[in-house]
Amino acid sequence: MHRKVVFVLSLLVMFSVVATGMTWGADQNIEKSFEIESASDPTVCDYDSVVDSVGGYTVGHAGLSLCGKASQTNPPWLYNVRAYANGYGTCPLLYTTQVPSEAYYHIGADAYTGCGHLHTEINWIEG
Amino acid sequence: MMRYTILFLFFLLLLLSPLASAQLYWLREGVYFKYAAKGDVVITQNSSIYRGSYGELFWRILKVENDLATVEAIFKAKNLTEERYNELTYEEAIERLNKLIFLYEGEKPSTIVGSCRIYPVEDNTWGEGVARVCNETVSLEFSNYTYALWVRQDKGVEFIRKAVPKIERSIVFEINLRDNVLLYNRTPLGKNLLFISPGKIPREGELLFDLSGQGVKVEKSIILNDTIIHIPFKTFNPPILHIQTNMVSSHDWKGMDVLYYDIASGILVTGFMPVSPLWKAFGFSSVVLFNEGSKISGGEMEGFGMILEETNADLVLAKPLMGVEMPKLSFIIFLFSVLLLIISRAVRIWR
Repeated sequence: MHRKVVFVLSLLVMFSVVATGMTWGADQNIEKSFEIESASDPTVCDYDSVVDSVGGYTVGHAGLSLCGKASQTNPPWLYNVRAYANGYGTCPLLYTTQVPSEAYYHIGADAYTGCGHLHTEINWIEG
Repeated sequence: MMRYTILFLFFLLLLLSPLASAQLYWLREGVYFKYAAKGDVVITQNSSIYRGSYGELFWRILKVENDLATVEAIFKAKNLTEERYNELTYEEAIERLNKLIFLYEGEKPSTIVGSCRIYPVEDNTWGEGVARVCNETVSLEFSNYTYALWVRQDKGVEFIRKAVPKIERSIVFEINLRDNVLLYNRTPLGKNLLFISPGKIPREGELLFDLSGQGVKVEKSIILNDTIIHIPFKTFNPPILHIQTNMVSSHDWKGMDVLYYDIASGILVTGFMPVSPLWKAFGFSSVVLFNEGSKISGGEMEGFGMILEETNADLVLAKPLMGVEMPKLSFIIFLFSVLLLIISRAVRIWR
């Protein structure tokens, strides 16, 4: 009886070790393949901002950033495109459009704030 | 008996006054307003985003009858670029990719850049261009049109960019003057934002309309007593009504309205109005009309967003509604009541 219990327990331990190893290996592979894809692809960014001040004091500011990766294997595609906009104080964020995560050679992002229009764009230019 | 009659007439006068003054003095057939934005136009519709440099909104009153104003509105935008992004399933994307690759199979490419083959192409609509065929991507590039397809590991993406010389749309809708609700095809879409009734200023928290389950509400409703709006058409003096809504979002944009009304007339002088029942009636999801250099500022400002450029209601605007003008009927009743009062007094003294 004691031997059977030891046998079943050792089997369970063995399975869990194998399963953990497989999961870890899979994670490593995903990370590795992502690294391979992104390592050679440069990240391109553009920023725009506005500051509102009264009597030398900042009373509001707004910013817009746009970043994406320029694919070297599938030019001139941009991927992992992200835009982020914010506005504070007298420059609240009033309107912004979502950017697609992939774009063909050019992508622009706009943000309309109480202090004006912010615009960013990134381009994949060959050569 | 006479006393009761006079009292009754006075109450009638009191009741009639607000009803009569609720009617906007400039609201009559043929009155028009034109708003324009020289700077930026952004229109979202379905999965497309249009960007341009000029946009205008024109509206005129066709008829006012039974507390219902029939209005014609025309929206124009010029020099636009449309961008559309579609996500495809892997299978759909592969099918489209193979179809496009098949078109150039056997043809000699004009250039080879890395893993991509470039072919000259000619299209009846878009003229001369190039087709770029790579391992996982295909694109067609013309001066005014681009189509690109990328098959990724688990999905496909399709990107379309094209020049759109202009967008022009015209609609006829109604405004219920009792509650200022915009009706399109007899369906109420929400509060009209083109003008307000000076007697019914929207209050903070008031629901203006519904946008796909999200309530667009008044977040700020402030009467600005120190703000002067200088626009090329006219200088609007205080008081100015500042209305700001909450932020709402759709799948491809998020935004809120900031509107400035002339309290005397109730008309929208300038404003940033990406969301409105009016745009819904036009078939747009959101519309940004933004004059270059627009900035919210206290004191004196030069308009923000779209700006009132022209109206034929200028003559009446010179005589602003004070909200206390006595309608003719009420005035006659008032005179009649005073006359009756004098007569009753005279009769009593004489007796």
